[in-house]
Amino acid sequence: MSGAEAAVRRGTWLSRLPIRRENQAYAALFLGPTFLLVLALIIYPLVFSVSLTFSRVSTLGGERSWVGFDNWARLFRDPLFAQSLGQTVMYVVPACILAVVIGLAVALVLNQDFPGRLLVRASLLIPWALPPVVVAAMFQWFLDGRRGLLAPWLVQLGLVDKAPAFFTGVPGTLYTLVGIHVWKTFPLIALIFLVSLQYLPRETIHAAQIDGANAWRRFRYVTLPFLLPTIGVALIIQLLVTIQLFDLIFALTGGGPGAYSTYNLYFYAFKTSFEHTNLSYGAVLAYVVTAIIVVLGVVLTRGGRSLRLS
Amino acid sequence: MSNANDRRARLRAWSGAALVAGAAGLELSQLFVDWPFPVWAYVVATVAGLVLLWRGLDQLHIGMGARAVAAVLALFVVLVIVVPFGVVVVLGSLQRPVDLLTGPHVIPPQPTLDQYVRLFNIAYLSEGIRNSLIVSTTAAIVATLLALLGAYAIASLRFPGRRAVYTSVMLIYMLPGIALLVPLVAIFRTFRLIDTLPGMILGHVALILPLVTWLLVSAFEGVEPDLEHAARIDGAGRFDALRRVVIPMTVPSIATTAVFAFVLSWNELLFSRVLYVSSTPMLAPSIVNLMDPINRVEPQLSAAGLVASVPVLILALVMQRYLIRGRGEGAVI
Repeated sequence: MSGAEAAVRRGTWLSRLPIRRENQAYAALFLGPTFLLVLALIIYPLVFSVSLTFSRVSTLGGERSWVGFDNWARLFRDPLFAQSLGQTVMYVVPACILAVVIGLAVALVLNQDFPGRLLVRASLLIPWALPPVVVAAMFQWFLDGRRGLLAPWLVQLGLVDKAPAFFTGVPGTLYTLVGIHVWKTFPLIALIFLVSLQYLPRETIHAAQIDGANAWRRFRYVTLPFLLPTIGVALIIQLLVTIQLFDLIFALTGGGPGAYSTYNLYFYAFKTSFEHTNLSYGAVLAYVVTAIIVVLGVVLTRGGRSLRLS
Repeated sequence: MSNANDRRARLRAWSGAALVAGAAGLELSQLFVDWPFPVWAYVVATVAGLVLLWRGLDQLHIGMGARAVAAVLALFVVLVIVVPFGVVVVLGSLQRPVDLLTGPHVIPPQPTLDQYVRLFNIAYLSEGIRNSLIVSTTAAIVATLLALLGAYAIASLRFPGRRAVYTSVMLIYMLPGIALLVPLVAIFRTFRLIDTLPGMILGHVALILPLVTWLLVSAFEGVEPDLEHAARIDGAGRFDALRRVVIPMTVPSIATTAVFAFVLSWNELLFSRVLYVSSTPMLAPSIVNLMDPINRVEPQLSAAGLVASVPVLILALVMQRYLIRGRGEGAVI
């Protein structure tokens, strides 16, 4: 058999189809398994979930009955829904601002050339990689009123007069959670900015330097405008992540103290579905969270396009 | 003339450095000696010191000042990241529970590995470690294998609806977990998948598959199409092209993606908690169990936390070069 013949034989029967047909056949073949799985595990559940919202179903099983729009109407007379929605905003606003500001500052610092800089960059991966429950357990002890280290340190350093209570105040506890969340998320934001800064043309900075612009002006008129799109991306990522904040609330406060003072919408949906075993109203709440995320996500990222840096 | 200037600059830089170091020393000395050093004095001294250091060094060598100040500030960043983890999780796990009574310690008075030994006597914890290893590894492998095919189709094949498929991958990736979990529980109950390992694995695959697909699409789009065409002209089928050209060229991205999937699944709490009733404890919810306010033993919790962190920390540090891809695509994952 000649070499050329062997080469032709090597392809499967699909490769002998006309090119466009062949493309489509392979696309179907390759996408098939993923598509089936997505259909079974994601799309079907989401559609099924619509029917859930129009019926009464308990997590524990049992009879299912149709109740029309009852579950949706409940949203409007549910004070806890309004409270959770408000508290979601209380989480999101400071978490986004703090993480982006700190992340940007850290990125500017780490963008300088100093010995050990790669080591510092590597340490940024620690909070990012740690399991959220470990972060929760760690800060539970670190911030504990009696057994924790931070409160006595703050007192000894003269930063506060008496030991602050991190997990008992309303709404203070919510902001403690924000602080822990920012500790866990600012490193990723810093890494995003660091990658973006690699594309900042050095010539522009040098030119500004030679023209006598000081560090603040170089930042204000060269670096900041250059980073503006990245700041947008970072804000969106942090926004979407913070709306879905769950692990810290579940592990640290369980929604308390006081009357649901650290609930957010996501946590409320979880509680309703799996602890108050009302899957139907839980599905409604989950749909509200989904609607918020998808609308914000699609609008802010123009259909996901701006999430791809470069 | 320039020598005099140099000397003045050097003096400035040194006094700045001394100011920063001295202020830090005085501030920290309060942890050991009881005397008041006001916060504002520390802040003023540090800022003034940093400015002096910057100015002085910049006069000696342009750009040097910023670097030195950055090095000092980077130290603060590292402290903020490493101190809570190092002191609470690493050193804390070496304490004995009785040490809690003598007040908070940074250095364990009598370091012991007791808590690590005890961990394995807590049935749900050792089971949790085993289950998490099984579920996260399987889910990461299954999701990556499926996504290899799907992502290749989206990135390299031209077929009607390709854009729509790509956009829906994005959209599905954005979906909040809770929206998926509520109906999934209802469906899993019908198929008796709740509280089983296969059910747990399926749940985790559903969670990570969209992200993995999305990441691999961006990786495959970076492959030079000419190379693939060359292979195809030589008679390679699509499958061969994927196996012999595209995959070998994107091994780092694929490995990173798989690692990423593993970390995501390992750290996941919501699905692991809800799909478990009594027979398939996973590690993350088991740690929450240990956090119970009445019975918790902090050193034990720290030991469990360190055990749960070691795999993901090792993976993150090994893959760090690829986690931040600084080249053409510039995607951060």
